[in-house]
Amino acid sequence: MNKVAPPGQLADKAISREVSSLKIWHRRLGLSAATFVLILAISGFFLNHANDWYLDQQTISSSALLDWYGIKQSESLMSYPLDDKFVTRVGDEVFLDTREIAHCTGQLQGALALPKQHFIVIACDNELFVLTEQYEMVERLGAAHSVPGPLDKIGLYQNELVLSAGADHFLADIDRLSWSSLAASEAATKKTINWAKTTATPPALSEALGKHFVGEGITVERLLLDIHSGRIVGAWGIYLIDLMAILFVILAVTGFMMWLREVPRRK
Amino acid sequence: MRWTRTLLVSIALVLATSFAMAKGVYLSPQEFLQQSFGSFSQGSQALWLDDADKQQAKAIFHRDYVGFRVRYWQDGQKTAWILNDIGKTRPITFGVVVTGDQIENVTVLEFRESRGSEIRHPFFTEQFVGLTLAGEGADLNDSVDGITGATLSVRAATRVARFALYLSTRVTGNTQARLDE
Repeated sequence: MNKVAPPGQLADKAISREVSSLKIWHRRLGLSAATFVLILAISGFFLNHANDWYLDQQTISSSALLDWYGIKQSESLMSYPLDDKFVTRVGDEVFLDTREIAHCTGQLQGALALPKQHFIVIACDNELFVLTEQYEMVERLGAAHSVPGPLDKIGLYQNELVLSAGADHFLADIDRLSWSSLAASEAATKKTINWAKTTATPPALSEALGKHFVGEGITVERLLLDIHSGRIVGAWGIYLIDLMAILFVILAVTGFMMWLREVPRRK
Repeated sequence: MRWTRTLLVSIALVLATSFAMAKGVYLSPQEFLQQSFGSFSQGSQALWLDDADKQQAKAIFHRDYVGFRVRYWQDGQKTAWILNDIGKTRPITFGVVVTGDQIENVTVLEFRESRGSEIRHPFFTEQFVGLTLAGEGADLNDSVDGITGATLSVRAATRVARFALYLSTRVTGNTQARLDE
């Protein structure tokens, strides 16, 4: 004959089962999260003292890390020539020779001189930078000025600026901010457009830009921030850290639940 | 188990939220202009900066202002400006609307820095509403409370607000009379 356990013991067994189930999950999640706790704690500790320890001024020079950031060393740089100067994009910055002239979102899509307006135009994906012939910045034009985009190249047609955005070509007047579409019937004219062309960056300039970028590009603070936020491994790293944050919450909750369940047993 | 299912749903929800919040573009220039003027059809105008303007800009930004031509949008006494300033290392794009000699609103359109994006929130930007220029140094007539951890971004927002007010005086002439008083 089976023995029937008293109600108190049944309740204890149920609580015990629940607690051990929580313990299993708590242990599994804790183990998964342990590495990330260490990473977050260490990077957070150093970030907290970044200014005190001048980590925002020290730069990384490890070629492995620079490679990881996608910073190609000088030999792979390409430039757009302008008279005796070169326009080059390194990181997110555009350089005229070694002078940093603009922050470029996306790719550098061309640079050329407009002989009629006496301006220089440099194009990124969604922005045009207008410079004087002495290479002084006049203005930056973007979506707010209805610049078509994203641009993939710029050129000259009868000394007028032409913008190319996918299959569409636009005749641009940067003074009046007018962007008139070149109709399909003008396809023949499209063939006579002189598009801005890239050329290999001269070795000396490449080296100077490489040094500049290595010297000022990635600070230790930047690296720590990227480790802390997960950005170091790209966009998915952020979501991984988000996931870890959720795991930490679960650990706190399951830990609290286990403690709560064990209180009556202790009593 | 029921609680496991609940957890999974919660994780999915949090991840979906973080996807939505990941971008640093908070408002496109077109949306900003639409909100400011009710439509984007209005063309922009250009203001060429002279030496005095460049000096004023240098006094505000504490460095040479990059650019000679500033585009703006105007409807009567209302002007809208889209201006960039660097917080710590990267430019922050602001939209500023000035009506008469007062700021109507300051909006963060795009934030590219790693820290300090709290300045986009209304609790901060609403402090600028109604502020005007005071004194020859083109200071604001009231102080703006900072945000811990976003000091440089706060300073950038303040500089841009001052510059937009100054530029607005150049095209509407409103505050010049006020400064001369």
